[in-house]
Amino acid sequence: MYDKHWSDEELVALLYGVGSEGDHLDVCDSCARRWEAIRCRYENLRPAGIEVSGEFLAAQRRAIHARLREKRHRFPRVLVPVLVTLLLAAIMIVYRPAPEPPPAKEKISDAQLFDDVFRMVSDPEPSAVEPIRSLFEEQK
Amino acid sequence: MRAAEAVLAREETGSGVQEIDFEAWMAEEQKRIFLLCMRLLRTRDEADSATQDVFVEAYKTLEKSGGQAIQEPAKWLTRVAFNTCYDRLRSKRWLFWQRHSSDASGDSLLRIIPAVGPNQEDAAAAHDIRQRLEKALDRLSVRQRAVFILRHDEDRSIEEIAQIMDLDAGTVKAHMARAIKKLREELRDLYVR
Repeated sequence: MYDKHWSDEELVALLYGVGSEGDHLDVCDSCARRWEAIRCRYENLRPAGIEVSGEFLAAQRRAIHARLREKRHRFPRVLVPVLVTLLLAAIMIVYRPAPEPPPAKEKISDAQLFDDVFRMVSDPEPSAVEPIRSLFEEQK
Repeated sequence: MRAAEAVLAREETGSGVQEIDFEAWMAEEQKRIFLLCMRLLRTRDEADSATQDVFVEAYKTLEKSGGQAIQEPAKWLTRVAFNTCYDRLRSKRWLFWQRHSSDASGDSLLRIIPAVGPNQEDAAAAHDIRQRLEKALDRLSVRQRAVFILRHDEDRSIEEIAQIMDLDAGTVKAHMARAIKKLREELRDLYVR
């Protein structure tokens, strides 16, 4: 006789590979009997007798073969972006847009032209001299 | 198809190197992978589509490998299946669909599970428990469910599950312990019977 028998929880844990291992089942008849009973129920629960029809499996194999054939004949996806880029580049070379004409100069009215010419003539010094002159002025 | 698929991998066996024919390998693994997808995704259509993705992905990988051996092809395929389902379960489209069709899950797998058992009463009881288990599985997180299913349905060891899910064994154990705890709470009335 043993003071402490294994609980059902411990036996189930052992069944699923996470229980404590030891020689208790070898030496305790009571626990060994319960262990056998639990194993028996476990075997009954396992889906060993599941039947899947041969027709279903054959149809599945046909579908797999079809997918493999499709894969073999399909254009490689990796090449798609490369080809698109090359095509765009070719289009851009062939149909290169004409360079934009330089922006048209603003039309100046006769009055404004006359005004500008008059100012240039009447000014004794060209406007570019002004910054240089300031260098020679005495600072106040 | 047949000519192109020819030989896509070689497997080391006790008697030497064995060439794997993709078609034969797919036929051998197809049902197991479909059922795993079914358990993870819960709907037949999604599982069908995911299974196709798994084998297309497997074919592509084998093609790229140029006939190089794949270590433990069954485990490797399980890993491809898990990743395919996991990506789907985490996708926004899936979450949206789940929110809007919460009643659709659960029973779909049970429709293809025949009632097996020594007698009618046991068969009915087992069916009842399975039904409850299916619904309880819905309440687990994706990882908890995956860990539980790989152990419960595929009888994988904790170490194998860790490899398939790219986790360490301690994390798998933690997920498993939480899954069992949640399932125990959900199925308490059956459990104490």
